[in-house]
Amino acid sequence: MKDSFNPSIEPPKKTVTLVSSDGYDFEVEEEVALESQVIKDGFEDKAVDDREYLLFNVHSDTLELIIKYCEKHVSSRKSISAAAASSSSSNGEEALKEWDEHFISVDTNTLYDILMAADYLNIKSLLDLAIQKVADTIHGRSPEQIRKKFNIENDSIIDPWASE
Amino acid sequence: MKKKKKKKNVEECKEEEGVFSKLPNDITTNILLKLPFKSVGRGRCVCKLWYNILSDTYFLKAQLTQLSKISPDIFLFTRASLVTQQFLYIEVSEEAFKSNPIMPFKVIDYDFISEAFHLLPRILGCCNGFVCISGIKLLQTELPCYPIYVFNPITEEYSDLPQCDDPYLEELECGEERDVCLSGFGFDDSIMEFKLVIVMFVELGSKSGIYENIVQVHTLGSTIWRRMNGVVPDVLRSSQ
Repeated sequence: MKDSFNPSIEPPKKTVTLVSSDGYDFEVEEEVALESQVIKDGFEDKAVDDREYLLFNVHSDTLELIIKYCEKHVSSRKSISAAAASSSSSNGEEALKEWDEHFISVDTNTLYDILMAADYLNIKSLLDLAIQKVADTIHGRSPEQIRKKFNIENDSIIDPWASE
Repeated sequence: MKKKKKKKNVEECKEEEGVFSKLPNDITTNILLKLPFKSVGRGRCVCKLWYNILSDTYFLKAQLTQLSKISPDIFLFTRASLVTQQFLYIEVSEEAFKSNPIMPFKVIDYDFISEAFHLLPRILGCCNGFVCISGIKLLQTELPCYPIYVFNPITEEYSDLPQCDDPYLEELECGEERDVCLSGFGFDDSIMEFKLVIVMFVELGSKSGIYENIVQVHTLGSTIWRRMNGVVPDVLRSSQ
């Protein structure tokens, strides 16, 4: 009797299709896509054969980076927990941090795109990484340098040179 | 993984250049929250939006809440003697501190403090990057009152608090060695207020061995001191 219980459900598909704003398909492993809280939240509601997500706000160039990030984090987590299980010493977390650091060292426009995409897809670790990167870039710069770096229009109501 | 890339749509429209002013406000706020105290003043000069975010009470509260959680600015001080008193503080991220616990310490220019306050200050307490100092119980001062300041050692900004007119403060000033004054400076994050508490133990009569305690509480931002009598257990006096 056990076998006949819910016989119609197939084993879940292992891949999900993500479609970028400019119409590219990206087929990724399910667990990679689930790094996004937004996809995770909608995942259970979707029919198994309809696991395609239209990401209207994410350009293919950015999506490629995001997928790269999620893949790295999924695989690192596995190797870190495997290392922990076998109690062998590993510097997996250290290596991942280094990888993150390298990953997020991009030009300002790409950083902006990553920020927007990570926010849209709700990938918290990536959003934190990008936010920290921007904050680090701001730190130690003059207002003028910040405006130039981030392409911010100067509508300041404070003139730093004005006497108080 | 398999990554199939196939073109569905011929129309390729590269997104326009990322302009940071277009970031949603909550992301901008989160970015600015990561800034150390030092950069906040500079950030206000960047543009109207940043000025508004950085001046908003919500932001200040969030910054304080965050600080009390991760405390990137931790204040320590030594009080070996009044003359060699030094402020030491850590002004870096927790991570940097972990990897090198010695380097982050910085000594604040002590001359600046004596110059700014015209006296050798007594530290009443440190909290969330602010130091509360005063000239209480220092006979050297020629000032008529006992000024109390809140001082930000990073920006070297300070503001004075309303004067505490307690007659006992004066008595303490010229009182017996055994008279004791305790103090504390803290932040209540449920109501988002800084409070300064001063507890004075004053001996009644000479060598009676009986002490009275008076508590003065000041909430920063208000203009008054609240006074209470005998609410502190005497055991605190001897612990000093």
